Amino acid sequence: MPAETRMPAETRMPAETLADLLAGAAAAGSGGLRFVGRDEEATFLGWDEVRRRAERARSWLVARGVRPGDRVGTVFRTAPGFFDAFFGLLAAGAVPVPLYPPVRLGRLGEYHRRTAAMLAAAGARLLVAEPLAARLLGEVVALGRGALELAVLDGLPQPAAGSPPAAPAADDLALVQFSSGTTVEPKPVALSHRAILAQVAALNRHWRHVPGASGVSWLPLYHDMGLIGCVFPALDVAAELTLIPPELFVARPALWLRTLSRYRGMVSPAPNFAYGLCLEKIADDELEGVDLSSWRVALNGAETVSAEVMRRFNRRFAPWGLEPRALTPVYGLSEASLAVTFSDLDRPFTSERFDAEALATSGRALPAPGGTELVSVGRPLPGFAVEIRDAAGAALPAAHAGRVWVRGPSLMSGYLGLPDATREVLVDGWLDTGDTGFLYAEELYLTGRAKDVLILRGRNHPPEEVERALDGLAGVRTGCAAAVSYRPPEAASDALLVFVESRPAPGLGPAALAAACRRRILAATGLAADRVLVLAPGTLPRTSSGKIRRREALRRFLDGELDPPRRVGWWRLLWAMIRSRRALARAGE
Amino acid sequence: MRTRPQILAEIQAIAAATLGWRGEVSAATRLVEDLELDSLRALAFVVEIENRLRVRIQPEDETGLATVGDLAAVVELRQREHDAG
Repeated sequence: MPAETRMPAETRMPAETLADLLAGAAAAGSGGLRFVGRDEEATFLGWDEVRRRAERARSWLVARGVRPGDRVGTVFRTAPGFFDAFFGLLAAGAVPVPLYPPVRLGRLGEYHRRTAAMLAAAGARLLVAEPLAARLLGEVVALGRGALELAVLDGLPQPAAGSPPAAPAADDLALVQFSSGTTVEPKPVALSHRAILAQVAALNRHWRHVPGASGVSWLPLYHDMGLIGCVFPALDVAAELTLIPPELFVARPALWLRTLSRYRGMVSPAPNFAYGLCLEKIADDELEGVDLSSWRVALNGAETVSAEVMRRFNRRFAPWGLEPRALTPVYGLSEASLAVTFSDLDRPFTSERFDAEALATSGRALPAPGGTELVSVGRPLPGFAVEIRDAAGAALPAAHAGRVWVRGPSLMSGYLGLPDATREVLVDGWLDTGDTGFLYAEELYLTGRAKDVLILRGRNHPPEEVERALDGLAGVRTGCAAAVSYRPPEAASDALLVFVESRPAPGLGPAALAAACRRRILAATGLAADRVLVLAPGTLPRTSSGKIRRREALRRFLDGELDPPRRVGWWRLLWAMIRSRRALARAGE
Repeated sequence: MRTRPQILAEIQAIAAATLGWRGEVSAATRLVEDLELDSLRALAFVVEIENRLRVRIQPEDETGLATVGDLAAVVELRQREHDAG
């Protein structure tokens, strides 16, 4: 993408901020954003038009009292309005905090609480939203208790006379994104212009040698992979980016591949589950005339990458021109702006089998035929470094699993307003990712999370959210539930597994109790538990202070050790089920 | 313009195609509890209903939607508006 569309170096000031990037792209006169709608019709806005619109939005925002440095929440779907607000805020020197639009079909209470908590954590006093979303945001404003105001951006505002655009510095705060999974205590990740531009430069350097074509993305714009991984790199080189609203992709995944084909998309990232969804949902007749040969960089990141899903994806779509080397596992996190490691773009993905027992007991990564298959997420991008450390912080040699620490030019400045939380993860220029893994043949392999967190469909969820949903449910001991996520063998995506200790409840067998738990979890969190395992009181492993050890519970479960005591009646039946993993797989359904 | 039974039949077809739902779908079928709509499935389901039935379900319509029957009523209402407009 096209170095050749850049402006000649002598006429171009080095970009230091996101506003500079937009100015550069607008002046270059090439590229822009294409918005695909539900009938696959498209509207195109050149970068110069994006900038003109942002200028009008800026004067509207300034008239509403937006001042340089203000954090302002934005709630928009994938449409021009998102960019009007986003770049309008940047032009006003303010700091956008992109948030996700309201959920569909219910659970709005949870959405309202979460959104209000995020706005409070980001210190935002203003929320700018599109009209449709705004109709559901009144409750968020109410939860802000007078500290929060809502402004509805309905179409493009009339230009108004006003102050000149603000000129933030490279080290000023550029945007706030949320560490994925910050639903209980939202952690606002503060990113400077310098950090974001360093990330964008690293991405474009990495795939620029691939001769020119455009990007395609269905990823939400409030997600680092969508905004920092797709929009900014296209902006940086004045390229074209085609955007599909995420909800249209989810309903009809074929739209993604058809759009890639229609606009000759070269780069398009997605989390692993999206590749699985394509395998599950797309029928051949939806792919008539589709040619995927332009798709050179099919990034797979944001959650555990499955070798099996990628192999099946390659086989399934090879007849439509998909190149096996296109699928590129990557690793990154919002605290690093986005990407940290990339696999080689010129070869198919790499996976290795490792001795699961050695990995679990001694942390040694020993290649073993028939062992657990792990996918390499590649090597650090230029300028980035990865180090594996033990719990005490000492560096570990290759092929030893430990905590993944990363360093690089795009790390966050910190968690906004949370100095203690920042000090916990940012130490001497290194970031503790909270992920665990090892280096093997100089490439990074991930083994899990050091902290308890549920990773489901590319999003992190605190386990407490699921566990708390079961409080007060008849038949469940309060506070005696543990939620974990893991990748079952041969499965396409991570599964949510919930352990609950039961207490006597008349007329409630384990199957009925498991079903009640599933319903409760679904209603409270929007997450469908793949399995609910009912256990006898006192079965779950606990720390000396009585806290449930979730990962130990998962380990025991996987090793077949999590047996309830033998008792009469249904406990025996349950015990038999636990012995048979296959029976268990359907428990609670 | 579709009648209520036609809308229910369409919803059943969409539940089968989009959610892989093999069971019967009636007006009394509960969205979350019976169709097991987590957030992703709910999104796919409602967007596909909008796409196929050419309606826009409005934010305020969604408050209090509990069953397939509630959903069909909203589709009928919005379809009428769509045709009238």
